[in-house]
Amino acid sequence: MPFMKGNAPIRRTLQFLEAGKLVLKDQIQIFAVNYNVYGDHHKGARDFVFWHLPQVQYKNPHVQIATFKNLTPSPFIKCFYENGHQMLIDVDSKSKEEIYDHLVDVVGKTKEVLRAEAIAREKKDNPANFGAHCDKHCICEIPGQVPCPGICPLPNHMRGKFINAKE
Amino acid sequence: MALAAATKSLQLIGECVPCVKQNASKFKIKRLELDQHLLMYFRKDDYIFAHDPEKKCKTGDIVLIEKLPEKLSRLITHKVKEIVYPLGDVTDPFTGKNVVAGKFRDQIDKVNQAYGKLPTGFDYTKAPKRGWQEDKKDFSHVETYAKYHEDGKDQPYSV
Repeated sequence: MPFMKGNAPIRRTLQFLEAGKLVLKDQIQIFAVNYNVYGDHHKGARDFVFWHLPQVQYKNPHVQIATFKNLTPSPFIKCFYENGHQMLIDVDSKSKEEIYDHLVDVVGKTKEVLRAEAIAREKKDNPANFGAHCDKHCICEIPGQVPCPGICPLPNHMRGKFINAKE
Repeated sequence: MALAAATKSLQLIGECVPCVKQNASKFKIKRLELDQHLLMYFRKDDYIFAHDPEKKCKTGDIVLIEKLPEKLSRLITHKVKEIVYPLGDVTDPFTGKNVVAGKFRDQIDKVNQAYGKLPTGFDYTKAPKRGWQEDKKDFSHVETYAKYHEDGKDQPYSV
């Protein structure tokens, strides 16, 4: 790891950031962690913020992640949903692994959903695919292809109603 | 709840900062921005004006704001939804009791009683609501500046 200065610089590697397991559900807009800088029962929360918060923000670039220090005697995580609901998660005296796994179960997208999303993203990347969720809706949008029959009608020898019409 | 899901409300959580505008409060939104070379997240502050006609939010409160469907003015784009943690008056979400940093207020009261309560000590139950000294001794609700020009007009917020 070249140019890796500071405390635990492995947190700053792309491999570590990509290895984040927690992808928050689409509904969540704010992820707030409240913890104290002192106290043994806050140690898990502190470690979670130190190790896993960059991973969470990397996987969820559109979620606002906020930390509040030394507000309350007990540590907690609060998730704010789009529809106004708030989810309160108690992380008192839990280790950072426990907190992370709990979050993945409760507010994270499941592996199946992530797999389906990865496939959908692949489909979108392939320019040979048309239709919903793809870049182009129809092959008629590409210059050089047959133009859309809805805009300029096909010549009669290509139209079924003329081919099949009885003289 | 289908209709509620259809109305996407972009929510943000921010800290109230001093603001001179009427009907609006300024909020500092702390965001994390990835530095591509260091691959490290650094704090980036955005300032947002939110519609607050009664001026419920005082400087230092942590507030949840919601984006308005239409901008009220060029700068006022959000509205205040709820004050999550008012400054000095935080409630612990699990027990519902009032808290001061890492201690419960009733715990502090008990300790004070055991050691002997000072008459000059701050009493939460008897203290007036925040803002009673505004414009007299408390100038945290506006941005004060060093007076740079004496033009005869009254400049209440210049130092």
